[in-house]
Amino acid sequence: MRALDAGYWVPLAVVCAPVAAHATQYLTVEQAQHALFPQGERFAAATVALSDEQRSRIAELSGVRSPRGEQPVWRVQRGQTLVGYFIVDEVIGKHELITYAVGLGDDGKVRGVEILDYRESRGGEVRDPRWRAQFNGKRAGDALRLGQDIQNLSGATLSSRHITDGVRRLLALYEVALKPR
Amino acid sequence: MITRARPLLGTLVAIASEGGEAGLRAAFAAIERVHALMNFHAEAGDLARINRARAGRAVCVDRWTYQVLGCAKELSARSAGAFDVVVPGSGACHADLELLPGSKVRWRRAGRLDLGGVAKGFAVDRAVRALRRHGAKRGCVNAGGDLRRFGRWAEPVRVRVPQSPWRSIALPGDPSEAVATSGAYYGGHFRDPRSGEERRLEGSITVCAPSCMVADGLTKIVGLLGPQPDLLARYRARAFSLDAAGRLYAAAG
Repeated sequence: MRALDAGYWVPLAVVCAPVAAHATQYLTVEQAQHALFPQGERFAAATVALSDEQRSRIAELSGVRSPRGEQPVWRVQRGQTLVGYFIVDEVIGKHELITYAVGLGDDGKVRGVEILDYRESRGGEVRDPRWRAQFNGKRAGDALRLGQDIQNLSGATLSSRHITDGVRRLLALYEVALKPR
Repeated sequence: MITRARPLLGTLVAIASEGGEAGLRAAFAAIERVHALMNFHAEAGDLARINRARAGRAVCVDRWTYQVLGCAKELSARSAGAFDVVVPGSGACHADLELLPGSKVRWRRAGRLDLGGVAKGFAVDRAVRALRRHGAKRGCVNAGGDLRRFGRWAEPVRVRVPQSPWRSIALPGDPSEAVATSGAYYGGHFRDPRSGEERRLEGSITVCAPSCMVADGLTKIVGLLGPQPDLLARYRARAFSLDAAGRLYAAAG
């Protein structure tokens, strides 16, 4: 076989620009509810307050530590029938903070996962409570400062591992706190 | 423009579309289908079925899987094995996997496949096709490092600077090409399929091509072998290298 011509690299003049600390909102809580449960008629807030014992049980079942004592959960009903649960959760990656929603059927099985919003730090700040504090109390639906969208950014290994871990933790939460006994 | 994101293919897949919800749903369905067929962990998927098959036994696969394997084998042949979806050390290489008529595949010697190098690009291509079929005028599919847009886009595609991903540079050229980037964003490496050795990568490689599957596969070849102008020309592709200092280089030769 003919040896491949290796070629060479030519430097180009380009200017590096900071990626604006960007936030992308995909869905509001209400939109996500209807996306995951098109047939749901009533979404009744049923926030779960976890005891320390429940939290350690969840950590044991899922292998993921439960970062908070309260989990925003909605019971989804159609007429008088419970069709499932809608749960909003947040995960923090190395450079990103992601709010997402999980729809569980009444059998506790995952019906779908939707990203509500995605905020990206410009390095380090994600570990800084002040960076996170700017989003405190903000639920999807509030105005977020929209910077550069991830639409035209390549070269990002936006890890979904944290979301996968988060979903596993929520499934354990279902077992511990939601599943009818 | 509606935008949605879901965790799929081991990354966050974001799809934007100037069109209806139906197109968006079809686009995600296409990505979910690729995920189910070609992901390493899906027990019932084609990949797992091929990996369980013994030598000499033909396995019937989905035509999408067949198409991806066809592209992968072509890239292997044209790069003298620098690209290979057969896992090094698994007992076989790309030449041991035969593609038979009728969407069937067969091992000459049994090995194991990992489609991580092309399946994500293919999924992006299928999602773009689904959006267009549903009449979307403009759209963008971004699967963390594999990106493809169509319709009018004013702004260029930007590539993050390895090791400081909060900085980016704009790629010169056609904004409608598919773009794939592989690199050391949060610590990356390329594995040389010919030796099984892992090579640390300091920067990143970006390839622009008419299809995202080809762009995805070519990043690995260029990352291992260097610019490869003949190969790039053959696929109507362009390659760029970006170092950790934010210096961009174009492939030439």
